[in-house]
Amino acid sequence: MTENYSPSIIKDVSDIISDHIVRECPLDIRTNGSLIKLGHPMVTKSALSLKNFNQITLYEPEELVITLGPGVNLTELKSTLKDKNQELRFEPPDYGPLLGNLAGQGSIGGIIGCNLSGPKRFMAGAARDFILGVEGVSGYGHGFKAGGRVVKNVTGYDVSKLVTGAYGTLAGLTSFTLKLSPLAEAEISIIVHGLDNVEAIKLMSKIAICPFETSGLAYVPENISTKKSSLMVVRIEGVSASLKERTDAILKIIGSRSFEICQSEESKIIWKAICDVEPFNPPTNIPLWKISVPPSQAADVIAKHNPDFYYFDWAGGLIWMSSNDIPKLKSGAFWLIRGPNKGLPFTNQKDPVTKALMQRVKNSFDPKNILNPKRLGI
Amino acid sequence: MKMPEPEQAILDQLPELHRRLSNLLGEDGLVTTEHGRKVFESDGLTAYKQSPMIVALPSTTSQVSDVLKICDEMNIKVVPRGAGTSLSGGALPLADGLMLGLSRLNRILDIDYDNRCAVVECGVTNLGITNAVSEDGFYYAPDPSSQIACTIGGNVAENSGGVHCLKYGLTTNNILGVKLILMSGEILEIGGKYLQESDYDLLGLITGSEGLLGVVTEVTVRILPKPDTVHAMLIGFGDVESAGACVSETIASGIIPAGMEMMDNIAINAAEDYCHAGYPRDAAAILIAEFDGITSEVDYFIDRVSKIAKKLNATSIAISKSEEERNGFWAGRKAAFPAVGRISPDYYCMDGSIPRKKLPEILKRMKELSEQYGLKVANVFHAGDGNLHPLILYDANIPGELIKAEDFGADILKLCVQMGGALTGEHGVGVEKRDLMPEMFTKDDLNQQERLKCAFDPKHRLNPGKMFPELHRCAELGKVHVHGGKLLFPEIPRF
Repeated sequence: MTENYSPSIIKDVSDIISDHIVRECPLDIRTNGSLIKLGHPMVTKSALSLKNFNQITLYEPEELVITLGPGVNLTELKSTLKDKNQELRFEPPDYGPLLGNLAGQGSIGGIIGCNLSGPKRFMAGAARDFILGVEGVSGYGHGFKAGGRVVKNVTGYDVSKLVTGAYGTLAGLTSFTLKLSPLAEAEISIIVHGLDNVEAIKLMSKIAICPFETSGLAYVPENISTKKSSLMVVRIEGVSASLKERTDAILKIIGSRSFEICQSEESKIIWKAICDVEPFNPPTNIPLWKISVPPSQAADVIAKHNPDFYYFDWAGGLIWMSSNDIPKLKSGAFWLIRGPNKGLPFTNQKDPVTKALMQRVKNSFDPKNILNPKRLGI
Repeated sequence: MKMPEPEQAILDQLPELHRRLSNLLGEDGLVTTEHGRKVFESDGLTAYKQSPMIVALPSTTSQVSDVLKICDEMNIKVVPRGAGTSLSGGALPLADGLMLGLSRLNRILDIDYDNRCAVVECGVTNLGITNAVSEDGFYYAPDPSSQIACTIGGNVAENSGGVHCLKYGLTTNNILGVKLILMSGEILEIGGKYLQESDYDLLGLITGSEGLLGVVTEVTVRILPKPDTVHAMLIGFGDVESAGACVSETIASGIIPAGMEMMDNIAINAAEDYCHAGYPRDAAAILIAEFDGITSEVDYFIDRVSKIAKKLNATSIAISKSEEERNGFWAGRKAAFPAVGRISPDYYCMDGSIPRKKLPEILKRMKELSEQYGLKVANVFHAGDGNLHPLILYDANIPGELIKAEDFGADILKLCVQMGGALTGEHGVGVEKRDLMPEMFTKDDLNQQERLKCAFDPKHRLNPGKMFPELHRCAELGKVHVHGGKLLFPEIPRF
């Protein structure tokens, strides 16, 4: 019998999980399910949706802190924060259309559950860097909390980070507390035309190590660019008074290369496209890989695989690549974001010691393997 | 504060342990004499002392792994130690434990500007990393006040912060990978020179785990380009409420200083007596706010904060015009602890954390507690991120005064938790706050944390007696107790 639950109080989450422990019946833990295709397929007869935990229970703009349920819609959240000139600095992406869903449907639960971050990740940190505390129910059926609501807190293990990006395999999370950031007053982008992979990586590295705090460094090859040449894009944000000084400094590094400057609105459109992986819409049958590498190795990875379509984000630290090959990396990690997940791994293979430890960590939260079993391969 | 009773079965094994470790490390790699072991009897929390049973000083990751393997086989408890600067007793030895001194793993293995990182061994000091990359215009951002001595391994164990973590984050936000040795001796590579790992966030879990889960021997740290311009402001206020309000309004207006520190009148005067930093002695509180980045932005922020401070009736505002002057502003703050040490035979440094806006309230409550306990308190805060360091002044030579200071400290931390804060902002739980953990966490919360400990160290051999008020057997913690039989939940909406 298939059962789908969508409780709205923690006690019910706890009771449902406890009941499934007794029956040894696995549960598919999700918010609204828009990212459920990420991960190995699961064999579950029941699903537990946390979408009804959809309230902002605390928002103190002056403290730069928000506590909210996983079901809060991401678009609405961004708009609430924008009203107070604030943002989630890790720039949560919308993978909706990328995964064949509508845009704007995703919730904060999926972002935290999968630890997804956008182009600012290379300088600002990932979703996990902004999580201050969580509440949830483990595979013991027990409610628990970890962390808190203050920025400085080293009380106990940082369980909040561990459950962020665990794809619901450790606990059903019913509440998160996140650190917020002031919204930048102004932004512009500089686009450098016509670089190849190696040149682009070198230039991005040069800019990343200068002290002008760029908030985006990406490279889009000609065949998926909208401008008939490859584009290396630099985003510059800050108070209006600082934009000219920053821009002049970056232009000095760019030197005599061909460039154009995009003002705020155009810049926002470009970075939304990079953040939401728009170059890979609409879906095709070729597997799409997200690859985290040392930036200096990004061009080598592309040379090795020679994919038809790819681009770099995170100043060269992230590759989006569609390829029938499983990525071969000297160092780094990958995820299969889209494609036939039968026969292909969701992530890079772990060494036996790490795999065994991950299994023990999983058991420490979920000894009966009830929560999203096998989604991460364990 | 009670530590686990020494186990006779372990003490009896000392000769055999000594023999095996001597074969591995040589006598040069061991400290066995009473006199030698006494050197390790305490960390930065000097109120507690205990000589370890034996000290091992490995020089390589492989030796660390072998030492742990031997201890695991022989069921010997292990307390890891970096430079011993923990302020919470995290490196307090055990009478029946081996102290694993990691100071000899002190090599910088790789500096990689292309990937904006450096790979260093755990015994490299925090400042040593910055010194290694400074000439090329880089630095390592977290800067705990002990940075001249504390090691990066200890920083990972404690998730250390510092005055600049307001803008740049804590250790956990500034490292990319570690080499971790489990109690079994198994070696794990977690992360590397790339930003994101596809495993569980073991790096996040290890950071701040206080040496209870494994021993870190190598760390890949992010290094940042040094900012173009740095200026500091020194602002005096006639009352602490206005100083607190200035902090809140600055942050609320969208300005994140690199650091924002606050000192109260007792701390100001102690610092003035100690190093003549030029602080206004009559101010009820001062703020030191530092801004870094590009010149136009720094100037803009300083102008904005000056306006906020003036509106709040600041009694003095000074802006550094040179590096020398900026360092002068910081001199008194950086010397605050030794300065307070001069006006009292002993002091007890607390480390609670609260929502910023509660600063005036907790200051008022602390004043009341100070009168109640008859002990003075000097206040030094990382005000920008709500991290308090009240220094309780006492005299250990007066019978009962240490206990009184501890009780006063415990009351302050309980207040922090009641106000929505945390027991410890950056010093760690260690032995010091171990027994207060139930103030912040329920039994279920703590059981879940202890189960994690079991996943890494099922025999509780690694740094036992720290962090958790009670030790439970892993087998007991692992039992599933559920109330079965209730099915279907007709009242819960389906989707």
